[in-house]
Amino acid sequence: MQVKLFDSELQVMNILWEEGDLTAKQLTQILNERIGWNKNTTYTVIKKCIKKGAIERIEPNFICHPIIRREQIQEQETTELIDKVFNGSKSLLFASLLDKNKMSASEIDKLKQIVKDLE
Amino acid sequence: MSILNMSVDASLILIIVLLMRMLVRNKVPKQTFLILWGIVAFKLLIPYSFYSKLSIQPMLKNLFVTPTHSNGSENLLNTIEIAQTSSTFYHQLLLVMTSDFVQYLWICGGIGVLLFFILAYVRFYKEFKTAIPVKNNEYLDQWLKDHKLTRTIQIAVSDRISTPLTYGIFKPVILLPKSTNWEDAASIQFILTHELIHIKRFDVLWKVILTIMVALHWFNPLVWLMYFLVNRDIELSCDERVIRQFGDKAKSAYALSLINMADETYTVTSFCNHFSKNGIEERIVSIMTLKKKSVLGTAFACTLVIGGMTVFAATGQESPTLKEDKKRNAVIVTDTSNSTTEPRVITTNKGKERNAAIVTDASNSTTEPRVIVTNEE
Repeated sequence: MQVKLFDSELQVMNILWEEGDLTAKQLTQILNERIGWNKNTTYTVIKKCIKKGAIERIEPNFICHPIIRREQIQEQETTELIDKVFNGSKSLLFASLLDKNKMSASEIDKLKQIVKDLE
Repeated sequence: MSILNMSVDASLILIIVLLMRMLVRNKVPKQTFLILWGIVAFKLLIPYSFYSKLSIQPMLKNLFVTPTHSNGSENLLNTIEIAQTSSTFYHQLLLVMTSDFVQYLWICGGIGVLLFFILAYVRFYKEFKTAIPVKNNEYLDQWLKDHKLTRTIQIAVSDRISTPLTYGIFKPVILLPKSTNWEDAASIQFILTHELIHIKRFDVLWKVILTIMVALHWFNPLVWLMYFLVNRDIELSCDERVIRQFGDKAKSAYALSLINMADETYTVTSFCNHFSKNGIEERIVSIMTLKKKSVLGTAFACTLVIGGMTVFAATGQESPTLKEDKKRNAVIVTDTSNSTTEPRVITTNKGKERNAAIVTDASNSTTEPRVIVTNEE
């Protein structure tokens, strides 16, 4: 299964990988201590993880169980790095919402030329 | 509908500012245009009747324009407009505009626009919150120590944004993209300074006001154009301050670091490709052509602002000729015993020669002038 996890989601996953299953409440406490997230923010991220199939929610007490293993993500990140080097693929929040609008090399050159001319 | 009047009124001064921006954008301090836009925004947001009662307005008028007697309240003039049976397109339009349906449409449109902005903001805000605060970065910690404000600034890193940005009014957070090149201390310093200026000037708050403006005047394409341009001018004037701080020599380095950032990323700022590409080019040119503060430039800027104030003061009330026109076209009667604020309209243009007069009762001390009619045939 191919799941792309962002840094914020990896923060949650890291804790689950280290500590094993935790309740959402415990997670919010740990993340608050470690990086200062508030409750809402942590829940936002946990929900994202559940949606992506990285975490399974077990009742009662909203226990979070990691479905994806650490190795899976590590392996995936390596392939992605290779992808990035060769294709330059990017997955950004804005890119999906708004038009992809990467500047071409010639446009960059043009801008640099403007700087040079006006120097 | 007074919002239409406001929109039309403000459009005149808006167009003037637009033209000035096209002509002398890089010749005056960038702040100038923020002030000019501020004047336009004031006109768009505050109803004339609201500030005409303040003493500032007559004062301005006396300063800059030959005094014209301005009697007749907004209310009355509006009624005259409605009463028009003149066949000119404008008057027909006004009639349509006052219908309930159009008002309903206006409100729905405004709510729609507002909702769009709010939803987008909530979505981004939630996402921004999940950024990871930077801890134990010596350079950044030192920088934060050196630039203390009454509000605490936080710096966080996100892998979901492409350009640095700032959010939050009371607890500002500077978000840096994960792709930031941490070795490049000069660039980072530029970025942080730029964002700090945004924070100091409460630019987020200004953008909120801009959004309200666009929601109220969503039917006016000029206001949308203004919205985009003000957003740009905020950036331009911010760039200017950075350069002032680092000195003229930093111009090229700053411009190049902007280009490099754009190189690594997607442009985020706008809905339309052409616009944003133009945007960065405009920014680069603006930075490179920045001049040192000069007496001439400042004087010119002052002239522009005073000019803007003049237009501001001169519009928004009916010009004398227009008034004459209206007098000829409408006949208004208010029952002297009628104490309501709505004047009643009885007849309109009789005969080929439209001769009617509005006489304000001199003994009347209320703000609402009572009108007596003499209809000369």
